[in-house]
Amino acid sequence: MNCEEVSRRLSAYLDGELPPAEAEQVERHLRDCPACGREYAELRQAAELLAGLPQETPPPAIAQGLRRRLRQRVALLFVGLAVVLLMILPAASVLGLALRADLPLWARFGFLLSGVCFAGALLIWCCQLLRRLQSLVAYGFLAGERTS
Amino acid sequence: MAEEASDEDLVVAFKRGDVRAYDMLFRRYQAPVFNYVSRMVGSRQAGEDLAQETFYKAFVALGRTRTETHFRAWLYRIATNAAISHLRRRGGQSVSLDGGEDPPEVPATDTSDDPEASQLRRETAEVVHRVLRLLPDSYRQILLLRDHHGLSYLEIGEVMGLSVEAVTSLLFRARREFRQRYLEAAVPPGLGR
Repeated sequence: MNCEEVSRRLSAYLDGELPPAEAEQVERHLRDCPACGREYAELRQAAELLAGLPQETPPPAIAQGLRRRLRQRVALLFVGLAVVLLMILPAASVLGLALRADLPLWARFGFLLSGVCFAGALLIWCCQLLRRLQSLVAYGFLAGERTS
Repeated sequence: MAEEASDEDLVVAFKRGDVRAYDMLFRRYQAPVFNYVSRMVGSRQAGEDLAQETFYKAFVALGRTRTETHFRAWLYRIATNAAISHLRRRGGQSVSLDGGEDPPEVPATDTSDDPEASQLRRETAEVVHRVLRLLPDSYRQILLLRDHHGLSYLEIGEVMGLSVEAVTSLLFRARREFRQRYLEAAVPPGLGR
């Protein structure tokens, strides 16, 4: 390996991300080449400076704000649930049309099929909303317990 | 669920409805994510908001995604997107060069008994923060992800949408640029050429 090839691999060598055979070649080159050795030392110093940055403690405002936003989402999901429940009325009226004896059989069958599909979709939607609501409310209680 | 449970186990437990699992993930990553976004945007206040946004989006999305492996990379990607959007909203200017209104703090005290060493560490950290703010966003991002948060090249690739080869090359250029600017910005005893 020449200096240019080694130089391109120095960062990965420093992080232990080179395949063993390449790492060995770089290591051999570094033993014999002072210029590449200097460059390697500089890269290592840069990495060490960044690794040495102090970790700041997160403020409690993050947890509080997260809880507040999740509560807002709970409210939004309740609105969604209310809309879904309201849509039961049109679904029921479509199903009601299937019971009308004055309509031809094919039309009644069509209304029945549409009503069942509509009601099924509402049920699935409702279950999803309830599941999301349940986890949001449970997390809200848990976070409340922890911070109180 | 034990505190030492892996991220993967916690994600699976959360998807099954155990919200305590998400709470553990939140406590595990709250500090790293807050420090990362604060340093990305150069502001503590914005860092608070962005960390909050990250965990909110993760809560909402986690149940719907197939993320079971590489949760850390997935979370950092959300944090990164939030930070980059914030920087764009601020008008293309990466981070303020004068330190901004409330740059990330360097703790005034540390646990060492040697006040001189403590002062030196503090000054060094301040210079490092200043130099980070001068770098292009992608350099700052990759340096923080690798050297401060210890993500693997594969994870960084997932966060930044790059191949491992591209990560290797970008990281090399970023470290060289950082080192160069650090030498220009500081006269740290014992750290110069």
